[in-house]
Amino acid sequence: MVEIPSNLLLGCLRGDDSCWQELIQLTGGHLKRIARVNLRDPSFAEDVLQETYYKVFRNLHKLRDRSRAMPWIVQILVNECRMLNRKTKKETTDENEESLSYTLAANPSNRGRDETRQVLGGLLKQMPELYREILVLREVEGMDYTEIASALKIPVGTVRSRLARARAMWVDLAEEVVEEGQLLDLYYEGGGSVA
Amino acid sequence: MKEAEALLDNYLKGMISEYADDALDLETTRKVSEFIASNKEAEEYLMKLQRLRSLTREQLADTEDDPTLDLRMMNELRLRSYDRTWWERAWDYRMFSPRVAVAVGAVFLLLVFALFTVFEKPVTILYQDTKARVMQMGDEAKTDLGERGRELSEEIEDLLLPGDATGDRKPKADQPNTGLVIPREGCPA
Repeated sequence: MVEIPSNLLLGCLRGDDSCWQELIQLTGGHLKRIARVNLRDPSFAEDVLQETYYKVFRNLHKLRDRSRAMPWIVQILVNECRMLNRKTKKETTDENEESLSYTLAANPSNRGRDETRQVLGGLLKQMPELYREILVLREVEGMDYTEIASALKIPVGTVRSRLARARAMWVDLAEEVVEEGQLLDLYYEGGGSVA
Repeated sequence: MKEAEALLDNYLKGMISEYADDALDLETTRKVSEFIASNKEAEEYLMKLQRLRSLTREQLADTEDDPTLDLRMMNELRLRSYDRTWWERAWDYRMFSPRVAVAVGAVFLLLVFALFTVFEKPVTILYQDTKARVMQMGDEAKTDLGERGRELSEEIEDLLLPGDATGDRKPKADQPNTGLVIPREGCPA
């Protein structure tokens, strides 16, 4: 999880353009990744990012604990993603298109990195929003329980239980995908311990 | 029975999930580790989970950085911040949190009630006095107008009535002299 220096935030509060640019450089990649996986339609990722930075720009003076700046920004982003997901109702169409591409790329030797990424992204997209958010923050962004609790505004105990349920569902879905002949990397490439 | 199994299953999966994150204390970690070593299903679940995590992190976390992302965001931020009017910018720096707003509202209501209690009697008296005075003035105005109207009609009556031979008019005995002199033709007042 990226740490935002306090003096950078103070510079942003003073309205220093170079500080804002540095803040965006520091956080942009992480936020875009979260948005792309969380959104039903990843092409809206930049729109969500723009809205998030605009809200950060408008509300930064209200942030009391500067050490929690990143979870606060992630919280804004997650809320924006939720709002946009509610607006876009064409999930089923997108899923159908994606499942066709999975079938075409079933053999891992013929499959490129982008396609594996697409399969993994599609796997996460099949999950309920509640579980997808927490998995993305933990598995993709590597945030710890406290940071996730802060970003999603839930207690740490809820983070533990929700993450456990999300992982159980995730493993089950991955199993189905493997049975269909996709995501064979799970068997061909042994993943090392992440913990 | 099935529910109990499901609960146990969820509990164990929860434990394995925290074990995978290294979020358990030493004693629990040792117990979970022993359990996983003795239970094939648990071992398989942990293995699948770890592979999936590893693959996801490898594939999704290491995306290429977009070199122009910050410039695009900055431009958008600049454009949007200039779009706002001064009152919108002032509103951004409002200091009222909802709690403060509710407290201020409550104090305002209490103040209104207190003022009403203190000033109810004088205000009622003032209202009644004013009302009585207005009515009195209305009555007086009516009376004055009636009297003045009567006087004017008498004067008109006098003018219309013929005078004596000298042309002088004598006031009627029962009529008060109003002192009004009416100029006649060829006879300056």
